[in-house]
Amino acid sequence: MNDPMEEEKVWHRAASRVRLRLNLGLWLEKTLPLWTAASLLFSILALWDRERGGERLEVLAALFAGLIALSGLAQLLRFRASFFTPEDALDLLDARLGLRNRLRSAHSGVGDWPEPPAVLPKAVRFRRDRAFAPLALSVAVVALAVYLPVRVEKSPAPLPVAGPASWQEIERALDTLREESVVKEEAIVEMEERLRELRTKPREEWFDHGTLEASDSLKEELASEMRELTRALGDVAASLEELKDMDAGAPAEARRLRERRLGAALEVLDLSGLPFEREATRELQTLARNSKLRRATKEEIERWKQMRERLYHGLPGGAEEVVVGLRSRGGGEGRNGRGGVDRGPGTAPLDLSAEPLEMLSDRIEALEGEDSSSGPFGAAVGVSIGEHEVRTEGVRFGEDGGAVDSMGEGGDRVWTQSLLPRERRVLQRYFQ
Amino acid sequence: MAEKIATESEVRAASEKLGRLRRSLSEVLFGREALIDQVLVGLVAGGHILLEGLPGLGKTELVKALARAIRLEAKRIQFTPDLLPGDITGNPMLQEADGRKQFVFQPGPIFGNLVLADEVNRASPKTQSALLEAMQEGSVTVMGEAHPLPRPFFVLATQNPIELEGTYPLPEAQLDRFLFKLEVKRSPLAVLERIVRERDLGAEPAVTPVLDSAELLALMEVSRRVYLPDVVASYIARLVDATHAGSSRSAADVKFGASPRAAIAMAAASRSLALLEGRINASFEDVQAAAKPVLRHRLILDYGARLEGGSTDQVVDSLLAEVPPREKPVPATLQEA
Repeated sequence: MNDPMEEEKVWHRAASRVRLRLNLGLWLEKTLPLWTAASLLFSILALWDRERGGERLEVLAALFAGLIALSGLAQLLRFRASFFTPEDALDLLDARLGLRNRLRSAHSGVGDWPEPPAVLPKAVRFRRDRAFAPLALSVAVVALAVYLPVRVEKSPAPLPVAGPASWQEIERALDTLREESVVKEEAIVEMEERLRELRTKPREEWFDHGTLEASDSLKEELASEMRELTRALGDVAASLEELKDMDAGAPAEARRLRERRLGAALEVLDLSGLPFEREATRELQTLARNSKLRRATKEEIERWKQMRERLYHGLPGGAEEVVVGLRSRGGGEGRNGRGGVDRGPGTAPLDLSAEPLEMLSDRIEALEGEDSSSGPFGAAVGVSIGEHEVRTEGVRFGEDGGAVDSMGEGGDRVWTQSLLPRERRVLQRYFQ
Repeated sequence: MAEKIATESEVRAASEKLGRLRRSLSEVLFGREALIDQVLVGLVAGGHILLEGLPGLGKTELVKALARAIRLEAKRIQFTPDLLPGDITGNPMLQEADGRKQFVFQPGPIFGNLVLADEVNRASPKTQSALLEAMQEGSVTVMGEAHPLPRPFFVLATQNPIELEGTYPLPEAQLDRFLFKLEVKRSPLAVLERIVRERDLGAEPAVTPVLDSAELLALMEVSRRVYLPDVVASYIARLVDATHAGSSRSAADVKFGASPRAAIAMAAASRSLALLEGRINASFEDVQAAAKPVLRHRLILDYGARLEGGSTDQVVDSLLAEVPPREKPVPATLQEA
């Protein structure tokens, strides 16, 4: 090759290759530490994510790729001014080929370009330990983080979106009460407040044993109050109807019995945990007076019966089987064990209340023919409402301590629970 | 560079002449090729040379041979403690001409093309200063009248190692005026045997003249026009700068580093070396070859380093290893193939 122009081109091409390699080496020198650090960071995050199911692995991979690209670009821009020039590459070729700065001189226009050798050697080559090792390390770390088998931790149970079913039942019952507008608003608000306290608990605790128990207790309490309310309303409606239908010649005793029953039911309504609104109570009292005078209309009584019906169906958990006076043999005139031909409409067999509650066509009563006298000791045989039978005469202090009011008769069970409704409420609230 | 850069043909011709001179000297001085090359480089660079070595190693012989090979007027001054400055530069002599008495300047031995200042460190500092001042200025001033020294003018001074008794070490400022300081070592056994065989005591060896002073001046002019690439100039500058304490690890024990004159001297020496080898440009290798002769007498080591036996040659070796020729090192991810 004797063409000076061609020789110059050959040398410049060789210098370009060397320069490219030098600049690539410089860029790698500045970038590899960042890549290694990014790889380690990604690996840690990837392993952490994979142990939790790997849902964010793709996002992490995208971020990692972006970080790699950005760091490479940033280093390229940052060190671009330090990159090698064609003259630097010629100097390196000079040194490599032992040309004693001849190429640099020729590049400056001094002297001829030397004849290039048949095969131009590489002036520089990449170092395995400094160029390839960090790259391989980064790739290995990333591959390990992505493909290394890891034990996936079970994801925590999802948080509940809805509370226990009893809450909805309580809410529906309270809505029913509010719609009927017969119960005092304060009582409803108090119930709602207690429900709200349950709702404000952390979601993780909504289905804890304690919360469920408290929810059921609240529901049961509300249900109990509403049952009592419906029963009293039923008593009121039945008494009103009977009084209205009772002709003038009816026995006075029977009338007094109905009137007493009506008064007791009204008292229950007034003293209930869900006390009646004053207006509703007044309305009922007016209706009671009218009934005694047989002036109450059937529609008025029917309205209260329907209200009772709606409240009954609004019980938390829905209408339930009402079991009344289960294990008693029943008795005329509401007296236990005192049947008789004049019992008339008195206490139905197996019902301890003064009047049977069978007033609704769809009500199902489950009756057991069990002989309560042979029941287990301590079992509840029934619930009654009335004053305590307190013996006030003939009591000798210091001698009659622990004496019982009634020793019972053959087969009779001793009353083990004899609480007034308000006493029972106090006890219930205490234990809540 | 304002001057026209030397062409390849000029350089080739100069190199041939220097080659002939080298061969001519080699016929007289056995086994001293490296020393001959360094002396020729110094000569072509236009610098003065300080030769240091024990007596009898061929220093004077080298100067005499050189003078004969180039057909230069050679003078020899044997420095002794009682030598006076006038004994070197010359003295005004009272002479009578046409009935009038007047002082006429009688040139001293320094008025020659090639002056051998033998055992220069045996003279008093005052006398040494007279010689070194003439070397620097290129003229001698006596009684207010300047007398230019002939061209070309070279001083090849020899000195015994300063450890010898009865020596006056040259001051640093005056050492700086020597382009090179060359160390003359004893010859190897084979060379010594050849000397024994081929040389007789007291017999002057015949030297073939190959150049004259005009040709030498022309060679010096071509040498100045040898191309010095920017990267090589940068290397020289970085190397000289690194001789100062604090500029490099190698110069930690250096009390005083090299002056800018040293950088100029190194550039001139590099050019001359390139010319000697027939190249139109100086190279990194030329700088490295010239580093020791140029720098070794210009670096002053601190007391501690001297006590520990350190030498300036060691410092220069360390500098050459520490300062890379190319300013931009190869990236750590690469290695030179």
